[in-house]
Amino acid sequence: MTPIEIVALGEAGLELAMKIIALVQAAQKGDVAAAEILKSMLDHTSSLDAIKAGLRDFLDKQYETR
Amino acid sequence: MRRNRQLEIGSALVLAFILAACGASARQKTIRITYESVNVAADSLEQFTKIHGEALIRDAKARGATKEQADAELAAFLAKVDHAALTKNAAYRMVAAAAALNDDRSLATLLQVAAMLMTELKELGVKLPGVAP
Repeated sequence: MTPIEIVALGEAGLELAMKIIALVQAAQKGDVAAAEILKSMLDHTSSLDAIKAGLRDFLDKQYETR
Repeated sequence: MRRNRQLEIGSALVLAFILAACGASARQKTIRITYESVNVAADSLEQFTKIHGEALIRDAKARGATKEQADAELAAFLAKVDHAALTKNAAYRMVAAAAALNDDRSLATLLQVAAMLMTELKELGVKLPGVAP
């Protein structure tokens, strides 16, 4: 359904448009929360991977033959 | 990283359990508090891994362990860390599921997984703010 078709519905169209806006807003709200959680998980995974790599480097340096 | 947060995980989880029984808006608060607790737990795991890992390597070197022995000890330690990290990611996924759904089961499972994470970190030796050693 195009915006023109919605407008052509008059008051019913306005109601439909409001429902669509509410649905879009709800979807956006949900997406933000999911994105935030996913980002935290990925950030912490990357951070832990970097620490593990740092420890392996640290071990190599400790055992470096001079 | 968010090390400067003063959130006390133990108290937060207790609060989360209480709020879990108190209606729809309380559900959102419970999810948010549990989410923040998981973030702090993840920070604590990272800090612990760095400090304990470096100490383990220094100790191995100081007592004359070979590089292979030190490698093996580090690998064993990191395997335990990886296990805890998997539980942590499971907790993140449950936070996302509980945020997306609106049923009691997802919230109950989230709290169970969060409690499992705290127990696992405690057993590993990670110091969690607000949780007795």
